[in-house]
Amino acid sequence: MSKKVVIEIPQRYIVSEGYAYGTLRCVGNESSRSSEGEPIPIEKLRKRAKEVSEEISRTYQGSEVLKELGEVYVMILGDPLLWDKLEKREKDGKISIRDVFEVRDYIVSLLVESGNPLIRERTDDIMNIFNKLVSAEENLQIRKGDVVYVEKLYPLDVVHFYRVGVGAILSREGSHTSHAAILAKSLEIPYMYGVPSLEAYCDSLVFVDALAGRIVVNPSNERGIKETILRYEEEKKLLEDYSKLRFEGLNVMANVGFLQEIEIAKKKGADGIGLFRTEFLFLNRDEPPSENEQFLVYKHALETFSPDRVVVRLLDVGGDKGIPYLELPREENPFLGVRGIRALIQNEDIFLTQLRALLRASPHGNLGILIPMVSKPSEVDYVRKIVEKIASELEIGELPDIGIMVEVPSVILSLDRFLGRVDFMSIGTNDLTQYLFAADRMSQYVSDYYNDEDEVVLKAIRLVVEGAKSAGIPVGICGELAGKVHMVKRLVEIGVTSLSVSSSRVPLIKKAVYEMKKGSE
Amino acid sequence: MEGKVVKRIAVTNPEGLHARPAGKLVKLLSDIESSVTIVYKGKRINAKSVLSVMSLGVEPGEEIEVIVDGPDCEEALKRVEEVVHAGGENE
Repeated sequence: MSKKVVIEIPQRYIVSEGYAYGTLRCVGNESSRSSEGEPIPIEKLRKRAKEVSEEISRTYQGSEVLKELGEVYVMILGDPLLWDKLEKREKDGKISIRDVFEVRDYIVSLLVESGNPLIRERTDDIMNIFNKLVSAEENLQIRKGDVVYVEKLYPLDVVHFYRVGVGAILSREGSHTSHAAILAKSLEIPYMYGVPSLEAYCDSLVFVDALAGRIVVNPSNERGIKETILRYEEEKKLLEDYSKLRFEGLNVMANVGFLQEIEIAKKKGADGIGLFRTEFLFLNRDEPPSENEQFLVYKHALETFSPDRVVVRLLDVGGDKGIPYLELPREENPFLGVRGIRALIQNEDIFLTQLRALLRASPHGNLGILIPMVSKPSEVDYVRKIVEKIASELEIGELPDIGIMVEVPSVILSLDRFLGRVDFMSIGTNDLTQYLFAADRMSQYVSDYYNDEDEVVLKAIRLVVEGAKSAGIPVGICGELAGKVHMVKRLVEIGVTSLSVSSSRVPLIKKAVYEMKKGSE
Repeated sequence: MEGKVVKRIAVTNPEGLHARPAGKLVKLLSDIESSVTIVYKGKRINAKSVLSVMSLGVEPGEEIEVIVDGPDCEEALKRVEEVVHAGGENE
């Protein structure tokens, strides 16, 4: 019998949770396909384009998003700009593969130069379409239930895998915000990236645990695995019923980090957005987003969830993010340096633009503005003064609620000074734990010190909740701690008023709350 | 009506003119006879080419110039505005 091999994958590389048990299929890296080969008659290329278009139209079905994307790809294949460029390079009715790839690279460069991160993600698709154009071998031998390993995951392939019904997708490269990742998540295909090469195990049986972050090659206890998967599938079905539940005095909300995630959060039954991270609007670009662009994004989020609350956190970055248009010093310890509200105060233009966009959007829903990395009461006064000024300029009568992230210990030890100044509080347990124990969350060398379930962290939460209760201020939790099922009971007993978790965990946490409430009746 | 119209339009679609709106635009223009040109940040492109539209990277909140020229220019302009304003403040 083949040897059992266990491969551990860090949790942060899990994009879409779930289990799978099946044959590992290693799909070749199409992006590195050689540009050698015989020239292709342009007529054959046209025919191939038609075939690929038909294949896309056939497979891109089932949801509006898929259909629209499919249509874009079909349009690209028939695009006048594309064929114009190709025809210019044709010789005796033929075109070399090298030339086809050069046209591909030209088109990709056009899209990259557009400077827009959303479009840049789409360049993957263009690469893949060209690879399909020149490649003869099609129809990868993938069957229902297989586990697929790829170097890099393309959106087109996700759809293909979804149609076939693969059990899980693994890739070496990846990112949470890539288009392929978002698709995998919304189609609920288990997916992890950051997976080391699995070439040695192709066609072996594997068990993928995209909850714990583990791949087991040639697992020994087939029966146990099948039972685990079956139980998980059954629970997932049951969970859908829980996603619609609402609880008195406790909201289960979603943490959202980019535009497309808003729909996913809504679909998963979130009672609002407890933490809307706005960094995605600012990263990977040379100039800050305009007021209008931000306004439209905030308005979209507010309208999607109205009348439920959407808590938007002001830009939360430090010098380590390397945003070119932000004036931030290079520091030895960026996590103890100019970040969050401190960075905003030093970059007032960007700060004012974001607040203006938020205030303009605020009449479209139920907005809460969250200030990150607060350590002194004067920071709240500063923000409130500006919010009031902008609101009067814009003639907005009703101010949105203003709240703070509780993550710096000084806030907890001077809580009474904050109570009269804020409308709500949100405890960021990840950073709070890191600052309480002086243990860098990213450093493997101090991971024994970093424990967000420690009694010290719970005591800190209790101090905040009890102090805030006397002033009638709601306190939510938005760190990873909020998404831990076994901690729900403790947190609810302490008296937190909201738990904000990643969208995929909303039904799970609602179920835990339901069972806890039922048990205490 | 045969003719030519030039109009500046603010893009209120929250996705700007990225892949999905770009696709919708090209689809809506597929049976339009008139030529449709978009001018944005000094670049002129054929609005019936999805690659050209995507390459502009038009952000929400920005303004584009649209030039329609041909027998069905008014209908063409109407369809451009439909996409550019989708999901925007006019709804």
